[in-house]
Amino acid sequence: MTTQPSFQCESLCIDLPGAPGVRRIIEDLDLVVRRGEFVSILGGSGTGKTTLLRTLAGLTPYSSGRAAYEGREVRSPVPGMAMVFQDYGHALLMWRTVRRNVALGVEGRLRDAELDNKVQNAIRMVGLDRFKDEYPWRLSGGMQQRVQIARALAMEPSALLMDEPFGALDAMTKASLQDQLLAVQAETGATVLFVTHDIEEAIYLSDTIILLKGSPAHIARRIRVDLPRPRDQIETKELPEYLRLRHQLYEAFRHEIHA
Amino acid sequence: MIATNAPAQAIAAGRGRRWAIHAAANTWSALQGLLPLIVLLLLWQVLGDPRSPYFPPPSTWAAALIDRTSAGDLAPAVLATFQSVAAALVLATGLGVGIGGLIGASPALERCLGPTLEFLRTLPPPTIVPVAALLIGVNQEMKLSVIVFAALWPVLLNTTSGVRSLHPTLLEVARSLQLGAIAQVTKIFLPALLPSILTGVRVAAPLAIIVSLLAEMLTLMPGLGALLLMAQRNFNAAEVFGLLAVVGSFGFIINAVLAAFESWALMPQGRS
Repeated sequence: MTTQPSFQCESLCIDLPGAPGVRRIIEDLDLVVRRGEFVSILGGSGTGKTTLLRTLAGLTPYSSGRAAYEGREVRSPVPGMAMVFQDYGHALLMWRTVRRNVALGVEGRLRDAELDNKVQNAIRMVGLDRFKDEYPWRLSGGMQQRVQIARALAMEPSALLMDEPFGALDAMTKASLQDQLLAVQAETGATVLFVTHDIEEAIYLSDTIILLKGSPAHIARRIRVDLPRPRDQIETKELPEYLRLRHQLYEAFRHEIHA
Repeated sequence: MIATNAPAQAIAAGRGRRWAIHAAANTWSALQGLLPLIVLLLLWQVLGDPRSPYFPPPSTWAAALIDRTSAGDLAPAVLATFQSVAAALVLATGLGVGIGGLIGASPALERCLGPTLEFLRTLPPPTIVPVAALLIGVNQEMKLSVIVFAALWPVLLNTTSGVRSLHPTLLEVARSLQLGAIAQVTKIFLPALLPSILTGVRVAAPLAIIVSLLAEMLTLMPGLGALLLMAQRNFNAAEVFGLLAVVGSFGFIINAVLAAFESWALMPQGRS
């Protein structure tokens, strides 16, 4: 098999309808994401990070250029991809137990034993075994988000698309979910596209950081993160390379604020 | 579907138990609410004159109802009214959810149908009875159509607004999981709309009862309404009051059953 990229954008332009008319959100964007790569899309609020992710997920149409997943153009949601939304409260089905929420994307496509197996495995990966027969509205925010991640994992996706998944969580829950996500990625080898506005989160998780800027947005920088894996919340964040990247990114954002 | 096993059954049993506790509490508060009515009836019984042609006390109602029962009129009448109301509620719910769901999902459809539906909705159901009698004839189908016509609107409007207030994220989840259209409706949209639909059904139930009795009175088709009208024409006040009490209990029980069903159905959503 050739080293075909997981995602590929060429001169991608995205327009969205707004009150004063159509507005260009993303202009002339080129991007290549390798298989198994962890790429964070970083930018201030309103720069179009989420729009770009949604386009790659097949949820938002694009106007010109090309967006492809495993060599095929993305026009609608594609098998092999799973999306995790920031708003877990509305992304889960509150009338289904954890186990049946996780099964939602795969049930009816598999035999009972196989389905049970996949669901159990996904729940194990996010550490929710003890809560699999509970309803989501009885769980904390962090646990609800883990249910959503398990639902994506049960589909055994080759790409995980995550829209600020930890944005609504407290710092400690966030750190523990980051580690869990890294472990899951190491286990499954999935490509991850991760939208965030948190600079340190982006550095800690990623192989590559894409920095979006401007209106319409373009890629202002593409930063390789050469930190050793497995990463560690304390040690990784004390490495000189981590601090250098952190400095560099905060510097880039400072210019944006002043501009 | 996941194979059922012990924990799932435990959850189901837990749900049954929690619901039973809930239902018991509801029953008690409903009985508390009936207290003033019971006091009023007792006073009437004690202070009323059994020979009064206008306000006979409750014991005479019972006697009149027993007469009606032994004549073999009461039970079939209750059954006839109940059957009409129940069948009409089922039909109205099906139609209301179907039409309301489509209108909620399609702004274009709403623009086309909106004014017509608004016009039909504001027609008082009693005025429909003569028209329906002319068009369909005096029969069960006519009675059922008139009740459905009255009971449809609350379900329809609640479903429409329920569809509009579905969270966009939920719609995107349905798309991104690539569920088929039928799976999207049965697994995501109908359960999400259940609270709105059930609210509509609960508003529709008393309307269905009112219109059913009204149709029976206007056409003298078998039912509680016809019995009531006949008792009035015979100047049998005790029977009129007795039948009124039956009608009141009839509505009360239907409402209580629907409320219990609603709280049971919404228990997994943490909404009851």
